[in-house]
Amino acid sequence: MQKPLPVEVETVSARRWARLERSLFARWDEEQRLDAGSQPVRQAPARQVRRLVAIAAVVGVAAAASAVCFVTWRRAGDAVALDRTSRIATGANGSHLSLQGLTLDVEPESAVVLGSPFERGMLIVLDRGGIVCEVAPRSADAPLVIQAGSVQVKVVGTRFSVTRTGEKARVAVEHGVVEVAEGGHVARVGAGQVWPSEAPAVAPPQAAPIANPSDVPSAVEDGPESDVTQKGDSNTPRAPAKASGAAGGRHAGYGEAAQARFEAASALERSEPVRAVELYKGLENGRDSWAQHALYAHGRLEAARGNAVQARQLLERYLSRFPKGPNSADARSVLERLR
Amino acid sequence: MAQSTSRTAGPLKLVRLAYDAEFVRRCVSGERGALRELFERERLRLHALLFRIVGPSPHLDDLLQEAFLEVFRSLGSFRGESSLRTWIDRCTVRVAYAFFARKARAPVLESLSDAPHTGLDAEEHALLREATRRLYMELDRLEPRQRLAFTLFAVEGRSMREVADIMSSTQVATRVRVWRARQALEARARKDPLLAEFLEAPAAPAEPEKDDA
Repeated sequence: MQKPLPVEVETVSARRWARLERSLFARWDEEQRLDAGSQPVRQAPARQVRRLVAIAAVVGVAAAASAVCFVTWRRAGDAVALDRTSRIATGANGSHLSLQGLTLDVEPESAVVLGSPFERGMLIVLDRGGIVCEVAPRSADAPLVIQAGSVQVKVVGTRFSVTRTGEKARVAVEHGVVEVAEGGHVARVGAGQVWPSEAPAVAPPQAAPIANPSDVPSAVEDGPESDVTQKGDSNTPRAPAKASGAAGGRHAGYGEAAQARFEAASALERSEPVRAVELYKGLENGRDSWAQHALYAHGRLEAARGNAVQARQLLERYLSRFPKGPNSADARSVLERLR
Repeated sequence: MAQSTSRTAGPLKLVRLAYDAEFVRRCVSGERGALRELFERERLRLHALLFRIVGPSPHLDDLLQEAFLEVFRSLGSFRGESSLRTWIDRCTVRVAYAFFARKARAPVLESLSDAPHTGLDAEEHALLREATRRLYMELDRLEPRQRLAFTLFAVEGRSMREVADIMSSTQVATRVRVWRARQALEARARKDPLLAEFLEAPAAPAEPEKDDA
């Protein structure tokens, strides 16, 4: 066997890997979300291509159509035909793009992944930096969705900017209205408004004041994790301590977002258990302290809903991952009960 | 080659397939932990594979994500007829092939200024990097299947049998593609001493014969 050519593979920094992983799973989640309710069977790319070719053949008059498309494309100046997902990364200079119904200014030192437009919308994942978008009015059924860390912006037609810092993002709307979603909370941001804002014109996700148990919903009555025996409903997972200031900006911000999501899930357990399960699922595979609480809470909730098999799997997974976790005793007792 | 043989030894293969089946089951069920584990297990290997096929490119991160998305989407169709890794390699090669086909049609949205090649900056590697750049510039001119076969064989160092398997092709057809790619590169190398030197490093593949198909 011959010796391979000495091509040196580039090294990828831990930060780049982290960005890549976040972006990948954001795209995967979005794809799953958008696919829910549509055809369950995904077509392989080759079949899609064949189908497109067939459709093109049926539509016919290919030459005339091509000519019209070509002329239109030429007249569109810098408009670009985007047929599949593309990633744009800028250095010292920004970039300007004009797509169908979308004008996008990518700021310097930014990276953005553009999903292919499809009948149910278009996804843009902001990896880092900032973008300014101007979107022509779109059908509400086919929105433009921008994912920036844990923040999701859904657009129907407006001009606005999104700036990402770690998992958080800032959204400023010049005109029109966008929907910003984070941790299960959805806020509408109108012209001239900024999200999140100091004086909130719209409500960003609020972390319940854990220090005062009486102020929070019953499902999260338990206070921060401590050595003191947990009081109240033993089915409710012990919540971890709120991120301290010393944790630093990004981690504190992420911790707060996770906390807000966890509390939202807890509050939704009785009224919207399915939504609560979704929120727990989003948290339970993380590496922060909220992951273990979400995993236990998910298991306990499934047990309460009568899904014994799933509950057992979740609680066993909890115990294998966190054998000495703050909810391990409760997890064992629920498992005992299930058996 | 010895490495490849040891990888397909009976007992090892059985153990790995059993593990893959359970692992795939978890992935197919949409278990986020399993998908993350899959990403963690395969990311370096797939990145290296894509880099060797595509070369230094601003699209590499996106292609890697595309490859993983393709794997996630298609895991349900994995039948265990080959090892999971070979199957993942096939998905990755499909993504690379689609990229080349797209690129041939319309090179849209070139990245602007970020140099993704963050690798070595030592002076002694400058020539190597330049030669690599020229190699991939020339590979850009090749027909996608020739390019894939050549990079998998001559850059990635796979055996002809593995390349044929990954590309779902015969060994003879694969050998012909590699040979044609090599011929084209060598023709260019006659005018480019740096590329010639780079291509000289390994032994040239033999002219294709009608053999082990």
